[in-house]
Amino acid sequence: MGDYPDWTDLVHLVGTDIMLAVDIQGAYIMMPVDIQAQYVNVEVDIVAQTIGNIGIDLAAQSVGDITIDIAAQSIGTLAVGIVASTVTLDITLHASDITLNIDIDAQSVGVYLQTEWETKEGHDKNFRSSGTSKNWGGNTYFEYEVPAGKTLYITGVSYAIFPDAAADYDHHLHFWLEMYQLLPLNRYVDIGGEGGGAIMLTKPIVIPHGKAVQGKITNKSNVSCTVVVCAWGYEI
Amino acid sequence: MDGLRKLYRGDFNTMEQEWQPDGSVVITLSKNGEDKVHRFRVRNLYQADEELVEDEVIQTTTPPWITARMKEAKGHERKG
Repeated sequence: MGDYPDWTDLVHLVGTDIMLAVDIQGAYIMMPVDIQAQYVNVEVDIVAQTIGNIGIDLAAQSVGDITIDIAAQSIGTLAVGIVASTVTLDITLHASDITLNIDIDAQSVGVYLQTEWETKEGHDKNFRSSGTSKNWGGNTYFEYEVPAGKTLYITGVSYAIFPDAAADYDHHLHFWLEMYQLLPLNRYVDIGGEGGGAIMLTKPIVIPHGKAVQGKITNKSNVSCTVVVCAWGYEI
Repeated sequence: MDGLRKLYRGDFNTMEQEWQPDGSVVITLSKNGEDKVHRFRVRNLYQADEELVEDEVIQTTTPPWITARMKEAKGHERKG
């Protein structure tokens, strides 16, 4: 039986030190919480079929870490408004469809794409192979087997071909560049051209752990050449 | 052996491979923030009979005269 005939329980606590553990199980729960104190630590764990609106309004001199972990079939609008002198905001989103609206008003902001972020974190990978005195059909390549538990993302490649003799600079210097995974053989990049160049991949080449990637450049000109292939990306 | 282990752990940022006439490959690995480079030669890379032929660690610390000049320049900056 509650404090009222409709089974409503009224909790009203006044004291200097209060420790309050709440465990509520019911079909329909309404729980407005109003806390005013010198120091507050609140941990909330909610498991329900449907969660209505959750409004959190924090006003304090300093706020520690705030961790929000939401797993649901669908989520309405998640509005976060932060006003502070310094803020670090780590957001991880996994969803089939994401709409992300960000309104930032700050003196300095660092926003990183994943390639830039992984480089900042020291996860970048850079590969290079070069070979001299390659006649028609001669090649050089790099090969790398992705370690257990990691995935390699290749985001860019560059390539170059030079004649070994100065007298051959007036020749066409054709090459063939390939980037592929071994076993099974998945071919991702085939470029034919002359001289060299570089491309940034709009979609990274993804090599899972236990698989090897090769980047190869082949001399397709009729003079002896030095060939170089490079690739870069990150591994996490 | 350290270099080869680093290769299999993916514990590097930059890798250079130079294939040799005898079919072996010289691999150079470096990692951001480390003052050394691992340079080693492997026969039959990634094969069942893979063999480490040569292995060396090359120190890549900043030359002392450059460090001294940087220190001097920074001290000069503080003095204004």
